[in-house]
Amino acid sequence: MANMSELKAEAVSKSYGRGGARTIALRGVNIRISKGELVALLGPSGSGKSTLINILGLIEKPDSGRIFIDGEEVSSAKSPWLIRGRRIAIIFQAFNLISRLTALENVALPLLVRGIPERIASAEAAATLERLGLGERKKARPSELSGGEQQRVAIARAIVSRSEYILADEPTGNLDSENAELVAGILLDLSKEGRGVLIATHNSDLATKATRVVRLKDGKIIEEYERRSAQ
Amino acid sequence: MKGGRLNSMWRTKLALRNLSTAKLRSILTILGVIIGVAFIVTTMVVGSSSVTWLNSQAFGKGSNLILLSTGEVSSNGGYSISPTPVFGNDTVAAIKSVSGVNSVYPAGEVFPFTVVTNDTKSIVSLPLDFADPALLNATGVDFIAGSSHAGGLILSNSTAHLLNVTVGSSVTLLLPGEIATETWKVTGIFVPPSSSLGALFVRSAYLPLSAWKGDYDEIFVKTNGITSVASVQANVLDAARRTTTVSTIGLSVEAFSLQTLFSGALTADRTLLNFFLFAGVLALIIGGIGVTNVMLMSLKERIREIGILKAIGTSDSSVFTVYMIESAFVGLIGGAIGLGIGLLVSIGVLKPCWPCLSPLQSSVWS
Repeated sequence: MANMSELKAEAVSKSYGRGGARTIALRGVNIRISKGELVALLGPSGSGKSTLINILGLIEKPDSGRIFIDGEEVSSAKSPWLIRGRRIAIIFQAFNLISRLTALENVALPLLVRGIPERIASAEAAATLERLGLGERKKARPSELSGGEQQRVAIARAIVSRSEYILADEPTGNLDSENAELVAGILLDLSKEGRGVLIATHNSDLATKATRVVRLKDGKIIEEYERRSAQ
Repeated sequence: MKGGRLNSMWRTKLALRNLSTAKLRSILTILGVIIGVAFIVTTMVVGSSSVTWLNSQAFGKGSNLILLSTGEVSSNGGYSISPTPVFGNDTVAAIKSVSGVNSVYPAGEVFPFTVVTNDTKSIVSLPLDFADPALLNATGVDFIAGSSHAGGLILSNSTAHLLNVTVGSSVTLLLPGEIATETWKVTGIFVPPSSSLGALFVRSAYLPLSAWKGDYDEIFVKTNGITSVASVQANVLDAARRTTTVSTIGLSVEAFSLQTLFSGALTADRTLLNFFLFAGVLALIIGGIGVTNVMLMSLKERIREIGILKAIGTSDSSVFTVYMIESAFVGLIGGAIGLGIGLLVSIGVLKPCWPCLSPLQSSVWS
């Protein structure tokens, strides 16, 4: 029976290029992220972490295999952006904020895309930025923010969308240890609030906060274990 | 399932922010559109106006007339009309029998002529024709005083002004050759057409044909329609040459019409218009490729931003529209300014030829 509270990849494979230049990124990967858990996806660079995040986030299509959200197959959805906007939020290592918009506008954008009136979207975005300690920085452009602040804005954008699943690709990769700790704590809080959070990282320290650890190497899962309690 | 779509205000907001962020690129792109549109507008307006003007000259009122006269071909291929009395009634009859001929108006011409008014003698260095008043009606001149059929002296307005006479004035004409001195009453004053029609077919003064004695210097032929002028002209000329003997060495019977006179100019102008059209289309294509290239480069630069918009759930059509709005702004602003500049340049180019501007005015503002 399908689990109605998880984001799941089933036998997902993906390769890039053709012939001799073909690179296999994923080889029949199975992974699930349940609501309320923080999963750490560990692996060295080139192990397929980002590809898996992109496929789970419906940004890329797998060559084979299927994606399920709460038991519903979404891998061949005709409007993946609708699912992304409502059910899955993605946080990137490079923050990926729109440079022409203020922090507040960047955070409000997912709500505007969903058709929520600007007044309400702005109020929710402001409240979320406040929660992440950026109340004073909401009118700043990304170029005026530090790396840690930019990543918090990106997390605020993921939070405000009320997505059930948050996929974070190396969210602390560009941050100093203090900010990395702060961001990791926020993501842990989000999982405790009932969201399913997947963090792709090659930082083993971040894995100590996870409820479950999945280790990826050369496109295959080589290890998976539960942690008894997240810190 | 709804969603995924940014509202119009936000799409416009993002498009305008994109434009304002890359100011120099935006300005250069708009400048490219301005130059392209202005060039196309100028070439099209100037070209089409000149063709329309030439058409109005060649195919306007009175352009179904053919003039038969004697003339001299110069060594450089030019032609001068030297009316001599060579056309008899047999020629008039032969021309009347030509297919497509509507009316034939033989005419005698004197040049120059002397006018005595109130003891003031004026030598008028302009031709005086003896012709059927219906000929004047066929040319479409406007009578501003009197009429064409009153049987007296008919003058163009400039000749009447020169002689300081009006309808009802009596003048004495001293005509060269065998035509005697006669006193005539002015019965009509007309305004000749401003087009080439006036120069070719309309004279400065007219007397009734009944006052003319001997063979005719000219024959005016009115055809049934405009389209057949060229073929009728050839047949009329053939008939005239068959029935006429020109004794003066160097002179021959020739036929003229506005359409044949303008045919070369019309062909040249149409060729020029086609060239400008080609140049305009080429400019449009090159400009279009240039603008597309700039927009594609702009898109490539913002591929990350597009990815972000899609990652947060924006639909492909919303993302596409943002960049279309940006392109539309560039196109509309550049197009509007280019159109204005193009029209101003066209007016500047056509200004020395004010008659050419009337088709421009009618084609642009009506």
